[in-house]
Amino acid sequence: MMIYKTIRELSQAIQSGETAPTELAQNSIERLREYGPVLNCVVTITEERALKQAKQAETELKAGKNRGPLHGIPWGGKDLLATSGGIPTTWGAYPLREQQFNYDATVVKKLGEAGSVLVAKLAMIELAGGMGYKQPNASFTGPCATPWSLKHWSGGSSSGSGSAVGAGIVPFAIGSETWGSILSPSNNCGVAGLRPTYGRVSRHGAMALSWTLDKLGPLCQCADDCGLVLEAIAGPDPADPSTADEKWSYQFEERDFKLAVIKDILEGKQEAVAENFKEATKVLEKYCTVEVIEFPDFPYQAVTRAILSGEAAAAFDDFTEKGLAAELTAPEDRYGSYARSLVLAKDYLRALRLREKMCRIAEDVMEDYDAVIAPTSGATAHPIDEPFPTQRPWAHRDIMGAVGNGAGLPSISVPSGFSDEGLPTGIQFMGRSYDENIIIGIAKMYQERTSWHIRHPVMFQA
Amino acid sequence: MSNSKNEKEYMYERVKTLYGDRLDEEQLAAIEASLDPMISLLEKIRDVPLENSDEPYSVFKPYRKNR
Repeated sequence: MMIYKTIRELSQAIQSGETAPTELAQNSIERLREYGPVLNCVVTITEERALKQAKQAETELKAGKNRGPLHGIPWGGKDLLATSGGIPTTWGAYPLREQQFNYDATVVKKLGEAGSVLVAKLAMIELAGGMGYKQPNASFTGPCATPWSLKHWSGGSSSGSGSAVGAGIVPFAIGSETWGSILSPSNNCGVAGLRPTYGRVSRHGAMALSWTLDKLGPLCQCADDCGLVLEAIAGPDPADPSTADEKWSYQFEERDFKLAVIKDILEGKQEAVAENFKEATKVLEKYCTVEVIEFPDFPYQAVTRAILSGEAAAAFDDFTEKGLAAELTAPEDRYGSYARSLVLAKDYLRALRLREKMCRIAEDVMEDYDAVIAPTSGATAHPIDEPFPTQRPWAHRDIMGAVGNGAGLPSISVPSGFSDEGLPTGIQFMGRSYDENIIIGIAKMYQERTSWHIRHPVMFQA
Repeated sequence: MSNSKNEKEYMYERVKTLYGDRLDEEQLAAIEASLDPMISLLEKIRDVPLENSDEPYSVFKPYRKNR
């Protein structure tokens, strides 16, 4: 069985006849059935569509029609991507468990055009965390575990996307990030996750949590795979006016990079996180310059949080007014939207006016660097059955998250080591807008010099 | 009474007026507690001076079919 293979390896195996798209799809479906309930990472197995797409890929490849590296490769989509054909799109929420759409999200369509095979809709935090959840048990499919420990959380809100890739159930998955929802599961599940520049990937057909903050991106076995998937899903889309005009192609850069690290970024971080980051920095210093920088005082978190609050309140206005929140899984999600609905229009607009200043500050601070590096998260995966602590020291100054998402900057996370408990830690490389090729290149070079990404949880090996 | 205290009372009363019939005492108490950090967040962005010419970072483009 071809588990934990990269997209390039799988594509080569298909080309050489070592495996076939139908075999890969069936393997994924078997593992979804066996391990999906163990991890709580699956909502719907899309078997009928998968076998049809796999058969088509096989026929095309036999006829010499090769659509590229994703042709015949199985994937899973976060269950906020609209899918036609009677496949439910639940947004992770019990009251929407039977919701269906009669069209495919642009990302689903583009991956289909690249010849890849949709095998599952994957679990997520209800409404992508838009109601302010405070515990892992905030999805109607139950709390999703990291494959590294069933007693610990996968991260969220793209929980199933991280968990299924980390368990070798699917070679890659698509997640979404408004603030942390790709990077958090990448960190907790020990996989590579790429948050693209805002507008790089069409959001058409994806649940909206925050129109000006939402991004879709891949979670994969390695940084290189993230580039391959991004190339397939990036590009302009008339159905999403926020998409960038130019088409993007994956051409990673390999050179001496100049990196920055924010002063005191390790303050309040868990010991394992800090130690692994220091070790990662030593590896990076072999092919990069690393300098300490500071961001000037500015209410980065308040600006991004105010935008998120205002837009989420509007995005879920109907849901809230109909009283559907009362049926959500996490008790705090049943009332979380009411206070936020009181943010005044002038405050929301003030945050949007400050956003431009924030974007300019970020560009001024970062313009001499290829990327800013930081631990992906301040801590390893949280216990699956415990509420998040009220005080999370590492969360108080989340400049990387606030600036990165507020200014729409790309970031990639890859594994940087493990804690004594055997839980993965991650390092993120955040670039200037539209610099995905640079940050993927840096992460790829880091992975060529480390082996964290080729370690896999014992329980899910064949 | 401070402005933030006034604002908190106003927001809480508004939640109770609009949604009180669907929320229990425990939920209302949790909402009341969540208002302090929200107001503190809003005060942070209100404290930053802005010029009249500082526009929201989003551009409105008039719609014209086939253009």
